Amino acid sequence: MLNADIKTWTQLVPVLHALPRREKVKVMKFLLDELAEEESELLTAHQAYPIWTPLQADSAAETLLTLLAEEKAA
Amino acid sequence: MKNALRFDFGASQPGSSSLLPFLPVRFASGQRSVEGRALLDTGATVNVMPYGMGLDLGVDWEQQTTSVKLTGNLADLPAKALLLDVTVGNFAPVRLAFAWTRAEQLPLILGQVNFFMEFDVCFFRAKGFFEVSRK
Repeated sequence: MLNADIKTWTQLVPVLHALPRREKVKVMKFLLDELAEEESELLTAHQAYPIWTPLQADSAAETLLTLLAEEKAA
Repeated sequence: MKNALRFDFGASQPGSSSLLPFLPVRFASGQRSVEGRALLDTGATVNVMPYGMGLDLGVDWEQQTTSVKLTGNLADLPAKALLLDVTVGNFAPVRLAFAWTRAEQLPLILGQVNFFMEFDVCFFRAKGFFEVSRK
């Protein structure tokens, strides 16, 4: 059975392997729920997430680079 | 990387499990100095500074004469060009150009022009840290 000394995947595999089928399904469900919960912490359904990244702001980039060059040349 | 500084990924908001590469930076403008944390955004074409941070630095919006046109969520708000000395860790201050936007609800963004032209950055997201060095 599980004990507190199990800390690695290698130690866990034989324990999982020895479980009856019904217990294996429980483990699988537990892990799926855990993963789903972690995902839901990152993104919530029906909520808008603004993306501030100015993608392809090429004219802005050109303006800033010109300003830097002018200052350097002055 | 040679002479690189290492930083941990940080939560975007307190308690959030979303970890992002936020870099501690220090700005100098005239007699004022302001510290902040900036999002390293490789997809951003330019550096972007939120309106409030520029005000904290004592910059006068009306005196900035060069307008810049941003894209995406920021496209509808005016922005002006701003050149500032920025210090990262113990590196010497670097002159960075910012699009200073009237928007407030965004992080300070460091993008391709010209942060990533001045600094090399290596992301180790799976390990939870990133490294920054001068070019």
